[in-house]
Amino acid sequence: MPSFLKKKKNLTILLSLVLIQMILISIQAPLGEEESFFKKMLLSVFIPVQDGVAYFFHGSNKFWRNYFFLHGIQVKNNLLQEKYFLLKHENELLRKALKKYQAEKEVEDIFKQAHKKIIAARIIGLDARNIFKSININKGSADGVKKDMVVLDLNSNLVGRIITVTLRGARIQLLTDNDAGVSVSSEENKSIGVLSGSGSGLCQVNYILNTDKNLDIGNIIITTGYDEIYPPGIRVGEIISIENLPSLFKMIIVKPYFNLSHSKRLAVIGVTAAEFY
Amino acid sequence: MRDYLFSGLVIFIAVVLYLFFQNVSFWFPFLLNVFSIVVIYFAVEKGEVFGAFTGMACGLIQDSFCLGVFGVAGIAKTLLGYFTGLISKKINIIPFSRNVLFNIIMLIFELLVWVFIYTLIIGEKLYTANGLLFLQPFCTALVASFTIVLVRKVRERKSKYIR
Repeated sequence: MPSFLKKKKNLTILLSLVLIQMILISIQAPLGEEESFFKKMLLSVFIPVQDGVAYFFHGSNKFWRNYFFLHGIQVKNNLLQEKYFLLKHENELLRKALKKYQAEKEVEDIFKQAHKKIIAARIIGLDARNIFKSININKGSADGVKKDMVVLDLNSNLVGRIITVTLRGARIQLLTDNDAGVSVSSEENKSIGVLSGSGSGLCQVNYILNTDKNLDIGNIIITTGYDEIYPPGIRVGEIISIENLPSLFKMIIVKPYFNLSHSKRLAVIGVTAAEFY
Repeated sequence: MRDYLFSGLVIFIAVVLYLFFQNVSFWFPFLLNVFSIVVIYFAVEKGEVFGAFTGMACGLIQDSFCLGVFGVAGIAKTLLGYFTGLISKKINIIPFSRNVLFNIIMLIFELLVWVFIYTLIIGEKLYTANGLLFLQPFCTALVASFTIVLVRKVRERKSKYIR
């Protein structure tokens, strides 16, 4: 070792550690949204820990609410029973309507297939840097989750898509992430734009011309399917403001419908874009 | 070897605590950075090189919980560990108030380094969790100082008991 390095051994160690991390950062640049091998490895190690902690926390919370703190349970139970009753009848009506067009066996097969295609998952962790960027779930490749699968909340509103998959868990890129991109249109008319997140809980629809007079505040935004990732017709959010900019395009702000503070449950649609199309 | 195993165990406990706090409230990790407490503790107790290694490990683990570039928190925490260890040898930080002040300065330095690298590499608007991020150095410094004092007291009692 050169003598000046021996004299400044500690400083050399520091510089080496910083250099290693600089190399790690530069390796990621050509990968784009793909996460590096080292990061995936760390994620695979910590996702079971994350799942364990979330399970313990929610388990103890549930235990307290189910056995000691029973306030409001009766009201909630009545509401759920009413909802179950309505959904059961809606289901029956839909089955009957479908039977008009297809044989009974085919209808049963459709329902069985639809049931199999939904993977129920639970949120186990949020992004450490920005809670509107990504979340981790407890279902991974072992449960059939694949990259680019679409994730919905309990009310079938779009949440995001699977971006990284490990054996026992996966990371979801939320709609509200700055790098997210979804082809969308308004439910009322078909002005097509690209929705991306603002990193602060809201989204914006880009590339809608200033001359487009069809959009209004309160319009519902849905997916178009043109991006070949998100299937068409999924509800995304509602327009809360429209502003004409000096440039060619409007500034349209959308409030997404999904709300992760209401429920930790999510539905992963078990069909990739390639299978869907 | 024993030191490395002990630091590994402490880092694992920090991960569990971090995940637990995240479940308590979304905002908790923005207010209190448990990984920084671990880095400061080992830097003060074991010196700058150990602090730098612990900083790198903690930073990379913290980065693995985020979407995006891997290594931003790693560099910030490596520098925190190194300089905390180096400066703590040269000044007296045993009194509690001095310890808190020293930790606040070091954590503000870490936050500045992190913000600088974040803006340089990621180029996104910084998410401050309604300003809570700016309170992080103060809350973390206070908890870190309490932890250091507590560990020293326990160690003193233990050595008295052995004698």
